[in-house]
Amino acid sequence: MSAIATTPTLERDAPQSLDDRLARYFKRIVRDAEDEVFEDGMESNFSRGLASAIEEHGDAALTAIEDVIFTGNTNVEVVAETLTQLGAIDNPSTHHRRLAILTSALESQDVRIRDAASLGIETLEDESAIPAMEAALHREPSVKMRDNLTAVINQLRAPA
Amino acid sequence: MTRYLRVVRQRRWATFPDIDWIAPGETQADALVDLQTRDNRLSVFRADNDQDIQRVIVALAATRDNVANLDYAIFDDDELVAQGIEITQSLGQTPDETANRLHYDIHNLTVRKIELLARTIAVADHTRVHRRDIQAMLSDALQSGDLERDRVSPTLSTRIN
Repeated sequence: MSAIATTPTLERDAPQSLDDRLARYFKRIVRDAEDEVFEDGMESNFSRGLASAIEEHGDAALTAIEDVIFTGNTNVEVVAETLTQLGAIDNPSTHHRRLAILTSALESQDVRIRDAASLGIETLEDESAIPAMEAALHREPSVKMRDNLTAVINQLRAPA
Repeated sequence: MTRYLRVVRQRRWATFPDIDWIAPGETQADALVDLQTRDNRLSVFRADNDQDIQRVIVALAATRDNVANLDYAIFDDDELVAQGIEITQSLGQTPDETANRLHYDIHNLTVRKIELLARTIAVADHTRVHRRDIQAMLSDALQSGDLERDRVSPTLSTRIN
């Protein structure tokens, strides 16, 4: 069976609202993602499932995934993967909403989530993120993370 | 002393004080995800100089689906060899034959040896190459012929040019 064939799909015939279906869908793919090993630059069942739902349902999908990943109970590795993927998805109509989620995640208490958010912002390549990145740099306690944030800010200041 | 390169995810190796629930000197258990063995082997690349490191980074980036940052650790083998860890050359599987000749397997690994390796990598030099730099390096390597284009995934290839 191909990897694509194993990507979960939304239950279209279920008698619930779209928001309910999206919530159930994301809970399922997040749960399944806990058994996946993520590597930078590699697609996964989770990344494909996330991208396809956002492409089809736009901001409604983002609201649902936000609810799931910011509950505080979700595996940090999966939250981080979600954030890096939010930067990589090619979907202009949700660009601003994805950027808002990523800049919000820069305020996380967890350095791993802040790191993933900065990588997502790096991939979005939107210079409007610079003030949020500079604020994150100003409050960042981790030396390593400050280096990473600085590199991304410099990159945003010099568009390709 | 010989130096080796292993691709990691930097945040899996974050430690105290960046992660406050970890005691000083401890490493997150999730770091073991970066040391997942196959047939009790782990793939590394020899990295004695900056030129080799750059060549290996590009070769590894070329094995992926997408252009993304690449995090790696560089560690030396002194303590590992002293503790009986075996490292032997084997041809790599990247689209760059020169980089493939820098490939080694750490083999006959045991849980004790993985723990030692994790402790070594935890205190090693960790570096991130950012996405835009990876993109430029891949593009240059394709143009120069360092990378065999037909061995790069079509998805990645279209995203480089």
